[in-house]
Amino acid sequence: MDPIAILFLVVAIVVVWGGMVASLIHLLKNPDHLSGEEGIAPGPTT
Amino acid sequence: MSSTTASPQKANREQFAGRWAFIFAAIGSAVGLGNIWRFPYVAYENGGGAFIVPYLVALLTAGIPLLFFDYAIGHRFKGSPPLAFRRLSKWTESIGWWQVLICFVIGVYYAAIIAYAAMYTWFSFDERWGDDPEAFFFGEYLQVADDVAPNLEFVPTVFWPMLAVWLILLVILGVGVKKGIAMASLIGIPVLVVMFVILVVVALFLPGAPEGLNALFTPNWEVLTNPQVWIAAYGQIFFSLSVGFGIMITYASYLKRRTNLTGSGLMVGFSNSSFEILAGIGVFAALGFMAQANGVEVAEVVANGIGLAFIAFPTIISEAPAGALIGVLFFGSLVVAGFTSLISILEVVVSAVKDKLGWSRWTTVIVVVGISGLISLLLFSTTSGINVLDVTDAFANNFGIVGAALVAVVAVSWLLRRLDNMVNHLNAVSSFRVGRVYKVLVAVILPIVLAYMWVSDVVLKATEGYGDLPSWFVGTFGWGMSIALIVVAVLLSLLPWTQRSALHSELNDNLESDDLPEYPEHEGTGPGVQWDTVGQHHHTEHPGKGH
Repeated sequence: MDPIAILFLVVAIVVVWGGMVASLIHLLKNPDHLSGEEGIAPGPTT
Repeated sequence: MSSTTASPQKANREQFAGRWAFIFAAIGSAVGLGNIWRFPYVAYENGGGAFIVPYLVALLTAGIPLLFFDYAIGHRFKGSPPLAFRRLSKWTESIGWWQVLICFVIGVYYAAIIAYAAMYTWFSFDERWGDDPEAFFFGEYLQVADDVAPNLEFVPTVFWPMLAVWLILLVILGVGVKKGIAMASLIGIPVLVVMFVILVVVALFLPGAPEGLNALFTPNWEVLTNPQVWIAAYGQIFFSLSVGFGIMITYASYLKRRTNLTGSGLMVGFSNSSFEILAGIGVFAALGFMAQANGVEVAEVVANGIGLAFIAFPTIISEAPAGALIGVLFFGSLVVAGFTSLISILEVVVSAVKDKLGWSRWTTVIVVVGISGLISLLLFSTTSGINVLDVTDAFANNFGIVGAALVAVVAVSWLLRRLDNMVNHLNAVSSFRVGRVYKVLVAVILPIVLAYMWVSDVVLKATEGYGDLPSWFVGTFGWGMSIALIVVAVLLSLLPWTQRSALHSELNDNLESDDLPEYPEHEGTGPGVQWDTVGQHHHTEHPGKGH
């Protein structure tokens, strides 16, 4: 494969699959009941 | 099911078990045939590696915003497209029916393609197509008639697998949202990903694969100044994401009030694109092999759609080592990806009929799938099926999906001026906040892009016709069908919602107070909406009182 094609193969994978991983992490950090203006603000429990 | 006049008690709408069931179902819908046989070709034709720029811009400025828009409508108004748009305003119910009818049309021909793919999975074992896959596909397999006019000469090898598709669909849709629709994707998507990853690995080891990837990923920057390349990127995103024709509205209506809508939407949008990139790598690695095996340039073997799947891939399977394995993985992937999409397409119709008539799920499914299956078999399992499929596909996608999406965003943003409500709803339950930029994208950018796509396609087809088909044929199954859908949609919206219908019998606990002037069904229903026991939300009184 040509270097420029390899570069763009890597760029496409990193950007799009990276976007999917970032979305997954964001989603896992934001469960439904804590999300949005109706969510319970996380804070001390005691 | 209770009547609002007799009792304040209302039935709950069916729900997904949780957000992952929804996300898998939404990915199952979005990842379909277009990801596998359309994206690689569109990317190759429109700049190769450079296509990633307009593609990402289209995803972020149109695809995901429209996905959020559909989620907001479906979730807030908790209904199939006609019910959701009816709850938005009685004037917009017909937009919902238009989307439902588009799904009906797409569903009836989509089943035929799944049937072809299922048979080709089987044919892969003994390479049934022989030395000439094109002659085999149109001749021996489809037995395409010389006359394009629809006939009743059934092709058994198309008819029986299509019947099987409709019967499986009947069971999946019949058992419901949790056990049928969600379960099909929770099983189907992992199976699809595993099959396709193995296919990509096998394809990458074929001789000539690097040349195929060079062809796909070498950037051609000059094309980025061509507006058609940008339109191609927006088109790919629209047709790939299952947005704008009711599917995401329907699926979002099966979510509980507290669901992280935008967070889920980002996951669905990027997952769909991730599969497209994977498909691009697999398809072009295989095409690179095909080019080398035949001593030609990759450009000479590039194909899309039916030509890629049923002509190019059989050639690759015949020539490649482990060809049968490649065949089973490729056609098996088409079947699974197509099936999870077909489920979502037909569920829009089932959900709409069920909402409007207040029938049980099984009754609705038997009637809807029965009628759809019958029409599907009559039109597409015959020797004239492929031509009808070609025309209805071209018009349902461009005239239908793009047109309906355009009318929906313009109606909500400009005519009803309810975009602020949608934004507030998304932000009330979601982690990824949307604001001014989002509103500009939906109210300004989306209408411009959609209008350009719609008008340019209509002008092209009106002036140059479609393909080599006779004008009466395109006029009937293309223009006639497209206009008939709009007329029927308006007529269906004029039918009254009975007391048994979901408008009156189902609880919508996703409402906000600013919707309520539109809600006669909530008048006098007693305790009102109490969706949030946490007490954070301000709408805990009867919604009819407003704030």
